[in-house]
Amino acid sequence: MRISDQMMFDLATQYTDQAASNLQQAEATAASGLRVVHPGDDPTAAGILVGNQVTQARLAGIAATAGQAASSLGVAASALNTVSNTISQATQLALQMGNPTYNASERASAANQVNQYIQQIVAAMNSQVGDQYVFGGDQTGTAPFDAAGNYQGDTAVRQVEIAPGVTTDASVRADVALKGVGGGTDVLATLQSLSQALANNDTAGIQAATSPLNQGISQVSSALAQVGEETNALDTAQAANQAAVTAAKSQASSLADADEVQSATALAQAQQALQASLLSTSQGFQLSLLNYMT
Amino acid sequence: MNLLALLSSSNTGLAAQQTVLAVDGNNIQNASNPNYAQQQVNLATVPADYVDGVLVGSGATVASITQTRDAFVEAQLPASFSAASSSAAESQALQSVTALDPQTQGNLASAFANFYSSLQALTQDAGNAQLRQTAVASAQALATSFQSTSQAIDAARTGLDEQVAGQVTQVNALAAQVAQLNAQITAAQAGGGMPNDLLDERQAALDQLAQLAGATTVKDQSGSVSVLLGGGLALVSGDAAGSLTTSVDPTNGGHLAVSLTLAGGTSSTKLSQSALGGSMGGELAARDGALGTAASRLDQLAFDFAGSVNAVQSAGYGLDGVSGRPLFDVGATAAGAASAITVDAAVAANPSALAAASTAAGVPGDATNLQALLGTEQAGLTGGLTATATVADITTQFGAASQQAQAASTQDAAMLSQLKQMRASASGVSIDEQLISMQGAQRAYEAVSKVIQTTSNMLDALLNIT
Repeated sequence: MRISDQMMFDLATQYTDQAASNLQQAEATAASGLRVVHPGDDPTAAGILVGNQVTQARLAGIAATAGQAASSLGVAASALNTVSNTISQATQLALQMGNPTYNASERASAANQVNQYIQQIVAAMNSQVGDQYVFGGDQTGTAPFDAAGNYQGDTAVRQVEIAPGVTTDASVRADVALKGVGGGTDVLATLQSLSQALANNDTAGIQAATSPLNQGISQVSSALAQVGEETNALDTAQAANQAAVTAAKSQASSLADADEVQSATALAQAQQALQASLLSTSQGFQLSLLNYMT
Repeated sequence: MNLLALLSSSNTGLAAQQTVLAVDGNNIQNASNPNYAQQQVNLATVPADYVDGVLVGSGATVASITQTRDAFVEAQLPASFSAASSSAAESQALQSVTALDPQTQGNLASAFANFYSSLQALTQDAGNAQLRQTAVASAQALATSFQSTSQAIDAARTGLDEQVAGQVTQVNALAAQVAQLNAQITAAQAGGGMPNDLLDERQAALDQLAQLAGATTVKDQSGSVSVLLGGGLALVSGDAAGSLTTSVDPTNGGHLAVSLTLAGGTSSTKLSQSALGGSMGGELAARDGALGTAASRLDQLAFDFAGSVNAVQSAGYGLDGVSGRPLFDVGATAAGAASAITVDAAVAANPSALAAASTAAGVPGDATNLQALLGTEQAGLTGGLTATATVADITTQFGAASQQAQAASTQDAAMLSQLKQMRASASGVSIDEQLISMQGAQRAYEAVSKVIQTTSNMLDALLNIT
């Protein structure tokens, strides 16, 4: 092939430009540590990264919310434990005061004790997380129980997202657990009856309270068990989502991050290629008949 | 042949060698001129004379000075110029758009994630004013992200409009230049000359026309060339040039359309994208291809997403017990939805209007409708994909187009480089060759001078006989 001077200069320019461009690209990859910056770098990976980004944020949000809901259930469990213990104490007191050996004065004193138990239970059932009442269903801004023991909340059960589009229960119905809605025992009404019987020195009335109170303990225990199950589900969801976030981060890294060894090698190769191009160009330009003509 | 005739023919020979030297010098001076085709002197034998019944040669003279061009290679160059410029322009345009980069902070995907995360957080305390404010703010951020992504793509498309408009001016100037050169070259060739410099100048203009608009050429016997755009539309015909114009195309979002007015014509014809190659073709391909698709898909996504969310939001109730309010305002049609989408003023001004509840009772913890709003994340929109899957698909589709353009650009550039090397091989100046040629001319000149000296000596001998 005939070689013209323009051809030599064009080729030298082209090869040097190409080598310089490759070097710049290798430097950018090595410096940023990223393999995929523009969608055109790897279209499939870019699309996956977009989805991955959403997945990471959503799963992290779900894990955080599950954790918060589990904490809220922890408060509920603590309150229900308090209620259960208090009902047990009231039951013990009823058994004790049902004994004919106690007189009216002693029973009147016990009635005061039962009234305190009622207030303790109401206080426990009005527990809050932040400014939210735990046991009021969706009526989170109103105390679920008034001083007289009337339920102010509704029948809603809070739902928590444990995976995109999947929810689980994250509260218990206090009207069922404490007021016996749906065929159970109204614990507060029973305690109020007990208090009345004690005040009236009504032995039969006192003895009649024992059985419903035991049922009440059973009701609250069921609610506690439900809280435990829900907490377990939320804890599991939190852990699973945190693990999924970690896996998603790992996937994103494997898709988007440049291999350090590979990028360092590519950088060294690009540097050498540019040096070789410059060297061969300069040497090629030295070959001319002009150097030999005098 | 007598001695005086020999002296005369030697004079012609000296002139011929001087011409060779002059052309070599011109070649050397133009060695770095990329538009220059090497010239060569074609010597011819002066017709022989009968001397004493035999033919005796009468020396050498310059028959012509021609360019060294490879017609086969040059016929392939316009298409290669066009393809390389087109794919390079398209690739460059697509590479310069960063709005769809997958890992940019605050991009559309992360805005979607934040929006749904904030709704999800709100489900745990639907009456919480701060969480409501956060949810509305994330909806506004999502709308802003739609707007900024759409505007970035539209800005790129508008930038391409401006480039095309500038190139139209260049093309018109070059077309007029080619028409003028056609006239000059035709006239020179009719007079028997070979206007090599004009041919170089015209070839440089034709190369640029191929690069800018993908113009091809057809040469006629008079030496004139016609310049054709795609579809055989003549931009230059002989010594008359047509012209390109741009106008706002209302059917294409107000972007520019390119029209051709034929030489001597009064009406213009709107050119299809396939009629233009080169940089303009590549820019229009990027503008109406990958970028246009991404823009319209974003519009459709914004419209569908807003419709999906609004349907649920409107069915629910705010803390104030009011229903029927949309969350996003997006307009009546998908066209321009991504740049128009905003959070409805009623919700933006009053986050309690966010319809978390399923009843009008104003129950603060009622998140039933919020769960339904969260469900829109999994809802299939146009094409069956969810909103975030659509964003991913738009990204992949745009990336594939960008990658394809880049690959085509690399391939086309390599092919063009090869052809340019072949042209440079045929037409470029080799200084070494020219130096050798100069040495040859010098030697020949010296030898002819010797002939003159010898002839002169012989004449002297004759004159000294008496």
